[in-house]
Amino acid sequence: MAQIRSIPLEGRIATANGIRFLRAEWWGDLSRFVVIRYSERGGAEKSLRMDIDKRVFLDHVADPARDKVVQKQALPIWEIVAKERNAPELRTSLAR
Amino acid sequence: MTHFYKGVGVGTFLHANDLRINGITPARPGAAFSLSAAMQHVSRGVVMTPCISLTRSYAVAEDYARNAGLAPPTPAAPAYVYVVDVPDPLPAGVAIYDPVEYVASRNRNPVTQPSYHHNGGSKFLLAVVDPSAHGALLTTPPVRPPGMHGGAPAGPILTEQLETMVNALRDAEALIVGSVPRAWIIERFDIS
Repeated sequence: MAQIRSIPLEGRIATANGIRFLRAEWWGDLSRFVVIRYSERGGAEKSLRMDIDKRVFLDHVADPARDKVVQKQALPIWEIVAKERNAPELRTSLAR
Repeated sequence: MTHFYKGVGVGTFLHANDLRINGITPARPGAAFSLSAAMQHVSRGVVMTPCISLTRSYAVAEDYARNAGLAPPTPAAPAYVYVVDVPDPLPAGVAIYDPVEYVASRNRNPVTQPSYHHNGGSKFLLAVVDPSAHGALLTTPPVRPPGMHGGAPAGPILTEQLETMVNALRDAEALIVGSVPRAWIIERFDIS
C-alpha cells in the first residue's frame, strides 16, 4: 500500500472566488506528480493533478472563470511544494 | 510497427474506459493542430487540444500511471499502461509528430524571436528539467558582457519553445493528431 504524504496549503494560498486550497498529496517520492485537494465554497473536496516539473495543473475546473483563478495559483502552490516536499520535517503522512 | 506507451492514472478521464475497446480520442478532435497547440499541450498541460500524448518509454508511462492519478493504484483499482502499436505508414486522417522536431523546424532561423535559445549558463537546462531541485537557476540573472547595463535584473530567457523541446525530450513524447483506433492498442498492464 502506497504511503500518502502531504503538505498543508490551507491558509497559505489566498482563497479566491470561493476556492480554498487544502493540501498537496503524493505517494511517489521520486515522482514529479502531486495532487492538490481543494474545495469550492465549503463543498465536497475536489482534486487537481499538478506536474511540479512543468509547474502547471494537469486538470481544469469546468467553469472557465473559476479555472482562470485556479490556474493562477499553480505557481504559488508549486513554490510551497517545491520547497517543502524534500523537507521531511515539514510534511505529514496520511494513513489510508 | 513501433511500440509507444500510454499511462493512465486512477480516477483520471481515461481510466473509466478500457482503451482496448474504445481506442483513444483527443479532447478536441476537430481542433486545428498548430505550433501553439503543440506547445500548450506539451509544456503547459493543456489537454483541450487535438493531440494525444504517447511515449516511447515504458518507464515514463509507468511513472505517469502510478503517480499521476487522483489516488494511489491498488490491486483492486490499478492504474494502467497501454501498449500502442503505431503503424508506419500511418493511415489517412492520423498524424504523428515529434514535438522536438516540430518546434525546431518552425524555429530554423536563429536570428528571429522567439527562439528556443536561452541566455543562461550551461547548467540552465537542469532548471528546465527539474525546477524543484534547480529552481534558483530560473531566477538568477545570467552573466552579461562587460559594460552591458540597464534593465531590471531577471532570470535567463526561457521560451515556451525551449520548455516544449526539453519536456518532450525528457518524456520521450510523441503527439498523435487524430484518434488512436482500438486495433493499435495491443496490451494493457495493471500497475498497483
